[in-house]
Amino acid sequence: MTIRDICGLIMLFGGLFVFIVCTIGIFRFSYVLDMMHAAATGDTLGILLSVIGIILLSHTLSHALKLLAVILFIWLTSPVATHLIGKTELLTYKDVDEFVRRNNDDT
Amino acid sequence: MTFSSLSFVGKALAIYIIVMAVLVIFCMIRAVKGPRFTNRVVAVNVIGTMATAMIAAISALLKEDFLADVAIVYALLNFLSVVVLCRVVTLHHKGRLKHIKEEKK
Repeated sequence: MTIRDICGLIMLFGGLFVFIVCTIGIFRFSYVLDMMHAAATGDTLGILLSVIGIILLSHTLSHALKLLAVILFIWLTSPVATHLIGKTELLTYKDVDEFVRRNNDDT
Repeated sequence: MTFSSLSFVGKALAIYIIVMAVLVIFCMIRAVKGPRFTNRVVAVNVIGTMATAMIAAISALLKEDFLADVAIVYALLNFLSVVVLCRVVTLHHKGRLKHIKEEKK
């Protein structure tokens, strides 16, 4: 049990907390664009904290570099995937103008 | 390997993996329930991210380097599935709109 292990475990469980918040958001929101907002939290901060915690707990250099590649890859691909999902939603949702107008009238 | 034979760090990693598995089950409920298919795609994307983090944790628990490669491949597959699904749905929708327009003429 070294200082490095303690730092790693703190970051790992910080990442777990962010993933729990992300899942609550996914579960409670009903509209897709709200859900995407909650999902982006887990895709960026959650994976960063979790994998940096695991890097601090890992034992060889090659292992740590491979895990850094995981973070880099997810950070590059997650915005693209989110953008595509939003584009598909706006293209296929017929009453999107009606939906936006109704929501603006409520506030 | 039993739970009590693990070190303190190993026990913490095992607890992390178990809690993440419960979160994945909640996301899966959402993926089944979602009223539209985009809700399902978002939920599946989050499940893939969580699975990547879980595989990375297993690689630290078992002290195996090759599981980090599996995590990279899983992230790639997750991205690919979302891109292909959205692409196919968009193209199908555009084709249907064109078809409707031609029928009106």
